[in-house]
Formats: sequence, C-alpha cells, structure tokens
Amino acid sequence: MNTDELNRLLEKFYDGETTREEELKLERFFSSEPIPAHLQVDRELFLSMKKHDSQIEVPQELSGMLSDLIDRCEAEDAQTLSAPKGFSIRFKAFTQQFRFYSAAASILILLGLSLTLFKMNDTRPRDTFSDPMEAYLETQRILSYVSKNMQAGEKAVALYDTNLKKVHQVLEEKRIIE
Amino acid sequence: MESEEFKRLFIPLADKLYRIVRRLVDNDEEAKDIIQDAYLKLWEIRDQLREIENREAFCVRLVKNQALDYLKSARYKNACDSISGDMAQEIPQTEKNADPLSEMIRTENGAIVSKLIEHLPQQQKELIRLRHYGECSMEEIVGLTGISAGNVRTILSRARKKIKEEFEKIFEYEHR
Repeated sequence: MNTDELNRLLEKFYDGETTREEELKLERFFSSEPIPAHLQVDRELFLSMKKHDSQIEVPQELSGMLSDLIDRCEAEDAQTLSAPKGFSIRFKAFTQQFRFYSAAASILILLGLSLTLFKMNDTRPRDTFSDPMEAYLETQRILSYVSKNMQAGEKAVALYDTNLKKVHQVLEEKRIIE
Repeated sequence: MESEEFKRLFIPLADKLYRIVRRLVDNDEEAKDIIQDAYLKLWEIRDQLREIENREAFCVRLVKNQALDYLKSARYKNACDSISGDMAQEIPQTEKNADPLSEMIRTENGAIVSKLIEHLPQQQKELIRLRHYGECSMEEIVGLTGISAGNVRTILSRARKKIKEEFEKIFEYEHR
C-alpha cells in the first residue's frame, strides 16, 4: 500500500467511514510491512483494538454442558406431554375462563385508576363554607387582618418619611451657611 | 427435531459462538451463561430451525444479540462498577508462534486499549466492542442496535478519536 492510500484509509478510519474490508486491509498492512515512525501509534492502536481467537480459550466443559442442558429440556418436555389428557382439557377450560376474567379485571382496574387520577388532577376551586353568614364573617376577618398589617406598614413609612425630612432640612441649612 | 439431531447440528457451533460472545463481553462466566441461554432459545424454536437456510449465520446473530442485551443490562453496569475495570485489565494469553517481545508489547497495549474502551460513554463503548471485538459489519450493527448508519459512523469516529488521543499520551510517555 502506498503512503497516500494509507493516509486516506486512516483518515477514513478515524472518521468512522471505513468498511470492514478496508479495516482488514489496514490490519494486514500494519501487521506485515515496516511502517514509518510517525504511524507507530496508529499501528499499535489499530492492532491492539482487535481480539484474536487464539487469545480466547473455550472452556472444555462447554459442549458437555450444552448437551446436558438439551437432555434436561427434553426430559422436561416429555413430562409435560405425558400429563393426563383430562387434566389438559380442564386446564385449557380454566385458562380460557381465566383469560375472560383477567380481561374484565384489567378494564375495572383501568377505569378505577383513571377516575382516581382525574379526581387528583382536578384543581377547580371548591366551596369551603355552606353557610353564607359564616363565609361573610371569615371574609371580614381576613380583610381586617390585611388592613391591620397595612396600617402597621404605613406607620413605619411615615416615621421614615419624617426622619428623611429632618436630614434634608439639616443639609439645606448647612448649604445656606456655606 | 429430536435432541440427537439438534445436538448433531448445533453443538459443533458452540466453540465459534462462544468465541464471538467472549470477545464482546470480556467475562468467562457471563459468556457461558449467554451461550446457555442462546441454546435454550434454539431448543424452544427447534421445529422452525429446519427451515432456516444458514443455521450458522442465524446462531451468530442470535448470540450477538444476547451479548448486546447483556452489555446494555444493569448486571453489566454493576459488574463494571464493582470490579472497576479489573476485567478490562485482564491480560489475554499470548499468541503462539509469534515474536515474544513484540507479542508482550501488543498484549500490554491490548490491556491499555481495553481499559480506554471501558471508560468511553456507554454507546461509544458498545459500538466499538461490536465493531472491533465482534467484527460486525455496518448492517449488523444497525440491525442489532437500531442506530442509523450515519449515527453509527459519527459515534465510532468520536470513540476512535478519543481512544487515539488518550493512547497517544500513554504511548508517548512510555517512549520518551
């Protein structure tokens, strides 16, 4: 492979654009030919990203284990098949009934859930008093509370205002003297 | 299909399938479990298997799928966190009939690169494993992950550049 092609392939590789064939080509090149020093990193990286089959040891017991597994499955299948016929018919009828009831139950659960959720999400204001007189008194109580607080606030502001005026006066006098 | 026929057709593929899975998951026990699960699935659909033309390709796809499911699972993430890369550090056996010194360097670099791959974001890690360890084609990766070909290229590119950047630092430090 010439340098141009090598550079082009490497660029494609880092851009994620290479095909499997092109990657194999790079791999063959890197593992056989002597390469320029500046490509040493790419070479090491490229070859290190591959896993060779010879690096993987297949456990010896694998085939035996799988063979046992199949035998066990076959034995289980045989057991289910040899179950008495009457039982299997009854079982079938039971599963059909079960299917019907489970469908009915699911619908009920869904209905219940949707109603509950609807109620939970309902944010419309609700009446809290049934007696109009009681409601009137409560409103009055709240309004008087608000006005009391507002009065307190007004007093504080008035005090601040007089203080400010005093300061202003002093400053004014000072200016006149000067 | 009787068990004898099933065994005759599928047990000889086990070694190859195990290697594929083991490359992808980096853990002997998990690889064995995945293979057992795959054979259970095969046994369940044994009657349809006769109609499949290329049984080997079918099995390869099945185990790659199972391995990918494992890589996405919480079990795998937990294993990564608790052992914090011990598995990745595990040094593979040296290749026979090769120059021992260069082989040793390769093995060491292999361990470094595995570690760098382990530290990539989840999706990049998955795709790098599928592409480089699993030797999957682009079509296979798209089929297995459901990510579009364009996105696969972008993710692979990001991952490769990141690995190179990190590897370069280590490599240059070692060769100063």
